[in-house]
Amino acid sequence: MNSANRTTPLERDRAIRRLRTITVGTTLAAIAAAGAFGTIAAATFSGSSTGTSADAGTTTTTPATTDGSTTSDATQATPTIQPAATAATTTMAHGQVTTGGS
Amino acid sequence: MAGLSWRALGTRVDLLVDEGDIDAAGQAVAAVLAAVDQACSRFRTDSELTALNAAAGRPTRVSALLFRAISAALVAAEQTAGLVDPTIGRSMRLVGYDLDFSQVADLPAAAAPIRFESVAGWRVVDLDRRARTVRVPAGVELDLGSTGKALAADLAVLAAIDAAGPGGALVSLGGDIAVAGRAPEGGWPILVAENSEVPADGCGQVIALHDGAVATSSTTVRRWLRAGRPVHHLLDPRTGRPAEGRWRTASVIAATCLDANTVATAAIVGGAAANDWLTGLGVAARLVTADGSLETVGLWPALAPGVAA
Repeated sequence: MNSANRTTPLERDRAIRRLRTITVGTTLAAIAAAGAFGTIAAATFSGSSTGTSADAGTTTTTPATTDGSTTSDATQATPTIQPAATAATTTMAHGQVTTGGS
Repeated sequence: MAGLSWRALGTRVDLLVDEGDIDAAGQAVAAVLAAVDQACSRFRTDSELTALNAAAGRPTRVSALLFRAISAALVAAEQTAGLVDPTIGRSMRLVGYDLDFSQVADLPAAAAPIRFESVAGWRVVDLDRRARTVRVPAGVELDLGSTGKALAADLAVLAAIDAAGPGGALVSLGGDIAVAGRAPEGGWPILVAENSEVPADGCGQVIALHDGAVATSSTTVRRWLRAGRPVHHLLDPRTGRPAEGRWRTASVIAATCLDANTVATAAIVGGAAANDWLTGLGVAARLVTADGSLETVGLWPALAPGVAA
């Protein structure tokens, strides 16, 4: 090992301080960049936290309580229209209610 | 099987309960419908929707129920590419549907002016989920008549089953029908007609619904005269004019009444152009053409020979 490359304790302390300064600066720059990106993204894509019509397209489909409120704030893609789980059948019974225009 | 009938939301309400407490179910359904009316009616001066439509573009905090109803209407608009659009309120008013229909039909309005305006489109409505606020631009008016009634049927049948007990329940709001719980043996027998006022034991196709919902939209009902011409309540949002497509009546079976009503209304408004979309959904549908002939889509129960619309 070459003794000429050894650093004194004082030199090590100075190097560590410089490294801290660089780290803090890099972190602050990263935070600023992330904030700028978020601002751009919010302005570019609908469905931001301020709400747009696209929010309706990501409406939660959490089953409603009887007052219609939802129990989750999660968002998801626009729900697709679903067929009934069981196919309806023809019956010879009399109807008990009528479906029709109203 | 026990049943109750009464009127609410400007239409006939039927409640059937199989093995349960019909009175408790009736109270629960009535409470849901009263809440929906208070929140979503375009004809009540004291409703939340009336206040929202008058807010002239200011974000307005609304009840959870109205927020859900508007969200559902906007989803329906997205699903149908605007064939079912809640910003139709102003267009409805311009063709004379600005009162409860029982009053519209009674008005000597045949000579009143009529205007047709396309809608602003559902994308102009802003929702803020966290604050539960809605912003409707000045000059735009929401109408939740179609999806709101179907959503009410979905909510009401859940309330009925909660209150009635372990059996099954059916709620019909003017022919928009939702069922929940255990279906009676053989299913819920439902007469399919063009007008929901046709007696349920009358002639025609009777289907047995085992789960989900069925809804019907028709241009043969809610018709009136304006400026000397017949108009009806199913307006095309793209023109503001009464829809005059290939179908006059569409009945659709789907997982929820909201889905069924959305598809039925979109089929009427979209007409033949909506055929591929309708077929691709996988729902069952029964369509009546303008001349009265019948067509079915998907797993709609087979029609008996000679059954008329």
